[in-house]
Amino acid sequence: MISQSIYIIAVLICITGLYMVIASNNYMSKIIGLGIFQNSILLFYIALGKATEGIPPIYIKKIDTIYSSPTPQVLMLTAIVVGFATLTTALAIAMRIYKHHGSLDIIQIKNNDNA
Amino acid sequence: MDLLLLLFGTLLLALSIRLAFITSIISLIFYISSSSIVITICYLLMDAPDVAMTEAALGACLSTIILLCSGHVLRNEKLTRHKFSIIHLLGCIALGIVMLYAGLDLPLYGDINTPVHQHISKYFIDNTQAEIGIPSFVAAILASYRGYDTLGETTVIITALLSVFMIINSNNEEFKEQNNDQMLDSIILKKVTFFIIGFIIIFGLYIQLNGEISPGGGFQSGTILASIVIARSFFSTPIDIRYFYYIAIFGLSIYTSVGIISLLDGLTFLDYRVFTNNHHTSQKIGIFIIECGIGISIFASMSALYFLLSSFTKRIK
Repeated sequence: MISQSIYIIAVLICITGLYMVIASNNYMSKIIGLGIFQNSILLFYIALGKATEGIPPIYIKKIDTIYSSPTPQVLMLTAIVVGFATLTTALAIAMRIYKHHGSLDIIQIKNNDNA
Repeated sequence: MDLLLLLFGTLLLALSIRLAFITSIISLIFYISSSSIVITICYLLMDAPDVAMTEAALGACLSTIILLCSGHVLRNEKLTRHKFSIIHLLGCIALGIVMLYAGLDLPLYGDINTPVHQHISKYFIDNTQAEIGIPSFVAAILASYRGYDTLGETTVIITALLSVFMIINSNNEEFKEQNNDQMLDSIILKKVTFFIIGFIIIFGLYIQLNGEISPGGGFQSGTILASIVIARSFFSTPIDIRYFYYIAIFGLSIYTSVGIISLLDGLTFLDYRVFTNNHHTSQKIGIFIIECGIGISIFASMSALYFLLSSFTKRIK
């Protein structure tokens, strides 16, 4: 169990992010919640690729060296970049909403619309 | 080593849980950027220097800058919850229990007999030296084995730039006059910034040019170089934002033109043998050109994204 604790941490971070996305009333919290959700997935994948006796995946001239797996690292590297792209786009939409309604709170925006 | 990872993982979890209960936007931004720094350390402890460098440059540095742009407009916004929703909490906990139950079947942390280490990773580790000839496995996969995928990632960034541009709909004259009266007038900040800028340029170029033998590459160096343009914009007259669009498209077209040249030569898309007959040299040339394309494109896109968002937030105020 103790050697799997990093996976447990990833799951707990994941549900924290999900809770922020679905339970919060503010668009800014939702955007940050998505970021936390993404962090947990990245952590999980990188943890799967780690080898106990391994070294970072950069070639050294020594026979029978164990490297940590480079494949999840490449995938997660690009996922971080895509995560940043989604963050900026979401933020631009949020700022547009703020300019129009003067608030980022869902309930307040709804009340303003009804009034 | 494992204990240290556990410590930083728990710290990350604590920061994330704290984030869910914060009511002020500014502290939200500082907590998300500090959790970015903690997760960078976690990546380093799990042997992923490339990912750590990307997270430090993009997550801890640029995300914070971009969030702070909006933070100073939203500083009076309160993130209060209107009612505590027990259903949402129960739903999340149920999902967590399901995932933990499924996680019981996961292999032990650090085991090398797992599928992750066996099939394609084993192929990459065994054959990179013979087929590509560069020491960094990550750079070899990123720019050669999965070069087609990386082309897509670079396009995603430019697509994000275009969509932010369309959402914000900023025109250039407005952008210029907004920036002219916002310049900082502090001699100490100015001197120190211009002193540091030289070192950052050298650092960025070092990461760009040594991407094949060490962690780093186009994504990281592009972000670091973009931070120079952002730092400079506080003190000098703004650069015309349209140039950044041209540079971003130019970087992407360097990348695509490598693919098109190889197609015209009768080879498959992004086949680097088009450059020379020597196998290893052609791979090195191809990876170098592609990393340069990524670097230029990311540099311009990041700078333009910052300028677009900051000029828009200034207009709101």
